[in-house]
Amino acid sequence: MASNSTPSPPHLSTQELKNAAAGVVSEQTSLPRPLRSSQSFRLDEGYSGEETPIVYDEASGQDLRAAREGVDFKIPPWMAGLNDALREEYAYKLIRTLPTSRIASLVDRLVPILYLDFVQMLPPELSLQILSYLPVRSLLNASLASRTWRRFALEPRLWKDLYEMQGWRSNDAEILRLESQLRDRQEDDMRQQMEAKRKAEDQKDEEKNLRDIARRNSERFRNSAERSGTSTSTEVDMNNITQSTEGLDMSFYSNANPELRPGQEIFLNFPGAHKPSIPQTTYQEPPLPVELGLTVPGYGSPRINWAFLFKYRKRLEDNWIHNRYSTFQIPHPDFPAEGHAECIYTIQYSPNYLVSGSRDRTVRIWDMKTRRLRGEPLKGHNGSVLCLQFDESPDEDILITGSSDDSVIIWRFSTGEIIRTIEKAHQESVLNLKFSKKWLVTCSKDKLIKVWTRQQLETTDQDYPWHSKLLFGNDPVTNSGFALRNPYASGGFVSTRAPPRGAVKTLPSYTPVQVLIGHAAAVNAIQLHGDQIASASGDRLIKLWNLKTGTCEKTYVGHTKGIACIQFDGHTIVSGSSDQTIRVFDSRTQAEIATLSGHRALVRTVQATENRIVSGSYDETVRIWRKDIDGQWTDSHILRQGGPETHHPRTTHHGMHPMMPGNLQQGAIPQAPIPQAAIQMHQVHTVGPALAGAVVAAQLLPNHHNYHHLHHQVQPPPPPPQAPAQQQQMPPVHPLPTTNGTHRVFKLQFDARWIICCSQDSKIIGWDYAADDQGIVEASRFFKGGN
Amino acid sequence: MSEIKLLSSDQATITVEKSVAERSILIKNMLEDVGEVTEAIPIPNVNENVLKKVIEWCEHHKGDPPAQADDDSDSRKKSSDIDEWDQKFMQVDQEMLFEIILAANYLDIKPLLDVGCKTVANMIKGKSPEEIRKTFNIQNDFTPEEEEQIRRENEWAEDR
Repeated sequence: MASNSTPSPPHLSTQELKNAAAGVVSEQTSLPRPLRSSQSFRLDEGYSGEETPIVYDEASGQDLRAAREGVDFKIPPWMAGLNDALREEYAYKLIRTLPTSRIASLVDRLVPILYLDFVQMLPPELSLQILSYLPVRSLLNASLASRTWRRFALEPRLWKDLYEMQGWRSNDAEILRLESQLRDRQEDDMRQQMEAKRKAEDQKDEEKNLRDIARRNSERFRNSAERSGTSTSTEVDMNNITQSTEGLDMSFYSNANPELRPGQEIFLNFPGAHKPSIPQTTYQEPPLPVELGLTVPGYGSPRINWAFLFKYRKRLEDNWIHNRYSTFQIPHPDFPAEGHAECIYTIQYSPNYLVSGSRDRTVRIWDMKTRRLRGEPLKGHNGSVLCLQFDESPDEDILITGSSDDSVIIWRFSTGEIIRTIEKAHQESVLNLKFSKKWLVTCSKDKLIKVWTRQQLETTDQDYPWHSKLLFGNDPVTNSGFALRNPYASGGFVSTRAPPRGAVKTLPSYTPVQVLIGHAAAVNAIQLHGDQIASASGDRLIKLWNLKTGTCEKTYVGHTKGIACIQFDGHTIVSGSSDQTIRVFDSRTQAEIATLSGHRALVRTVQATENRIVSGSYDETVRIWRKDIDGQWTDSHILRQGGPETHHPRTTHHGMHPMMPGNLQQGAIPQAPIPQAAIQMHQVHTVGPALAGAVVAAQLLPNHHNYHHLHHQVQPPPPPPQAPAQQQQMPPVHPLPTTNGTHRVFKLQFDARWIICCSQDSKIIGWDYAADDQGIVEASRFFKGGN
Repeated sequence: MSEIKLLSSDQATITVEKSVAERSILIKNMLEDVGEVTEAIPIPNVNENVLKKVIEWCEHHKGDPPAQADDDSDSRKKSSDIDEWDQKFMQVDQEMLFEIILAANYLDIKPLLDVGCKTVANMIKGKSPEEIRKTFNIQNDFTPEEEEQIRRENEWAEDR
């Protein structure tokens, strides 16, 4: 112990010492005094009651000197018998006889009694709770205090909390997958070791072999300790030791450890946090990797390192804030022939695939990693492909597309074959579609929304559409038998309705089960959330429908022109309109929470998360809106769809386009001006069917009032005769033939890392906010940020 | 008002109002299990000084609404705000502070445990690594090179 002599303890003023001492109440301490030792891996639990008295370096020095001088430092019994107050007074008097330099040295010796390294003495879960109240900066400072403190301060659960407190979301499925992969790998290792051990036993040379294993493992452990490798490799080695040394009673993690408290298992990830009960090993504390790795040692197998995720999520978010990104395009610039022949109306992407639908009537599936076309373009529609959704997961393996040819096609995603074509899905263009496991919802220029069952429905099925006016008409027929079977009968409002005899039958898959009638103009966009459908129409209204009952439950008024796009997450509705605004509504109260102004033309596509909205417009820009700390939405950045950067894929931009909200003059964007030539040459494609919905003048639907709806709202005033987005249908000002189209944004999707966007151009453009930071690239698959 | 007796680890008997003692979930459950007790309940892990201090806290907080059961992980307040009386109450030396935390943990008095932990957290907040070491008498066992490396690694948290 004395050899571990440490630098002199922190110097404190006498006043500080007094202050600290002022509150001393207890003399009979049950706390061990802090170890002045570099053995920080010994996590003292506070109750361990060290058998051997701990002697301070200086004290032991003094004791030795005293012994030499033959002085007995035992406190005389009469003094020991005095109460605390009297002994304190005596001590003070005695101290006052000393010169100041002696008092100072005494203070140095007393300080450690008053200042306690709690991480060494509290149960780990309590130390963790203390650290859980710290913000990021403090936690990182704490991680520099000592090795032990670093282990505590980097505990993943602390960082998971911090991560979630930022409002960031994570891809938990991907995290679980990684952790289970690591677990499997480790079990394999373990099995192999067991086999090796069994073989060794077969050789009837047990002792020798056990010695060998012990030696080998401690060597390996030493090696791993010396290696400044990733935490993963250290961990695997650690566990190998645990597993293979069972027979030698050297286990680190043994549950039989009687000193282990409940709740302490959370700490087993710290190889050093345990008292290694290995006798006579040359145990060396493994160095903590300085850099954060993707995983940390966990209980049994490695766990995701939330500090790592936090670090790179923060970097990624900083990139969004400072507009640092790289761009890419699809098709890959080296394979332009793979691209669409005309403009692209719709896209959707997953981590693996991007699917696009074009005016060239084809659907193309792209590999997200190589950005190459997968297979042949999918041909089946006889008109522009306006909307699509896919789910590549093996149990779904589906792609559904809607077209201006009024049809809907269901494709097998993996093969590209057509499973089914619904020829006349609507009377006019199918403008948008959304599906869930059970339902497909389509909307059309014909002002209708249709709900289709994706599966065959038996009458015994709980999803059987008993309330469908489409199937069973509007005439209530009293039928107590039906009312009993009707799962909604108890709900009240349709309990008297029953189908006419004979109409009840099994419904084959892709049978329309509901028609939602109520919009007075084209229904441009829909969003499906559970049993709720939010719809946006050229009639300037947003409606919220109950899919099961087919009734319109709420209507949202606010936009002054037709609405082109909508998003709904169950709480909030975000919509973009020809009135050039984006509006945010509270779906429950119907209150308009925010109006985002800035776009200079129709807002055609919008997506929102808790604190970010990205919108695309016919003004050829993509705008990123950020919710500031006051909860106000502000316009933070503009990406120019037709900007020069789109022609230079993989260009990393740093600090480009810092735009001030409200200062959005087109000419004021020096980084990405639209070349004057481009403006003059811009060729407006014949306004495609996809635009039709957005520009449809609001008309009253004939027969509209033949249907009774449970509107809670006053019917909105009839829209003015002026077509809300008529200007979009105007003939192009400069209809010059050119290969370089304009860049009206049709559809975008974003997540934590990317914005991908299609437009009047035949190329798909992506902005990658990882900006070529490999750490972000590695961590980003565990992030969630889109919808 | 019924009273019960508690026996500290150093064999001191303390009489306390039952409702006050029941701020401790440990004691509350114990009383529920055994019913009426006349003997002193042994609290083997807590000495008299600490026990008195804990009881002082319980007396002041006896009127508090009961803590939410699911107050734990999700809605755990990150705020380390402490009300004024508690702040004063926690102005003790470190040894007492950590003894109170241990006792609150053992006796299962969650609000007191939280206040104790927040108090310690506030002693860390805003301090440099050196100041943290000084505050808790932590031995720096990093090599200068390691320390420099970690310092650089930690820079990611700065806005850039």
